[in-house]
Amino acid sequence: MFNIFKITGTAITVICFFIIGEYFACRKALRGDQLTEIGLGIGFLRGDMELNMSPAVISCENISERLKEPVKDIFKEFSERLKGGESIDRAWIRALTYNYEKTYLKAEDIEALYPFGKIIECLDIEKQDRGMELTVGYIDRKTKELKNELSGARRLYRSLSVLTGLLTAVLLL
Amino acid sequence: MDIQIVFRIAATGILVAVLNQVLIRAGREEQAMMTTLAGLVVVLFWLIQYISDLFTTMETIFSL
Repeated sequence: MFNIFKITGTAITVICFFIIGEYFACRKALRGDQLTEIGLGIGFLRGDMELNMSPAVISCENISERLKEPVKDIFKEFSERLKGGESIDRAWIRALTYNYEKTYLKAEDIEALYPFGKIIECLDIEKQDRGMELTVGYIDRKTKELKNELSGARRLYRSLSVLTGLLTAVLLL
Repeated sequence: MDIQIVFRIAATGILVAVLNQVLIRAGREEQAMMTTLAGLVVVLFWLIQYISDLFTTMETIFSL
């Protein structure tokens, strides 16, 4: 009877650690997904501004309806801050900073996205275009890197989590 | 001395060795070293009482 409790406890410990390992593995995948979503949003914004010649406020509001959370919140807050009279650069930086915690993005991703506000603020259309291309280029590069690392990272986190769970079970027994 | 302690130390040693290898292969040598050190500290913590008993017994036997 006592052995059944020990076995159940060990199984529960290992399963809990496995779930924690899976969560860390998923974070990498979700980071890639959210970067792709931001890239999509920037693409939509570019298209809207070039083809429809809509102002950034209206474009961002329309784009936020087409995106998934939490990237939707970034563009929504950006458009609301623009409506409130803030400058484009400041509104973009604040929208990113205040919604950063809802995302799985790292600090280096946010640092790379900060200059985007200054790019849209630029009056020269060619510079705007080039700037947007650079930002989208960074996002594509990072997403490719994350995709390549994902399977290896998944296996690593799985093995680490199972082994740590077993070790904890042995220490607690 | 309970035989279970021997099995516990053996299991800990095996798991720490495997964890060490997995971390080294993943390129995280520092974490691997820390895991090994942590395993060593835990096992020493379990053994300290037995080592203390050993020294007490030796003192009693040799009237030191």
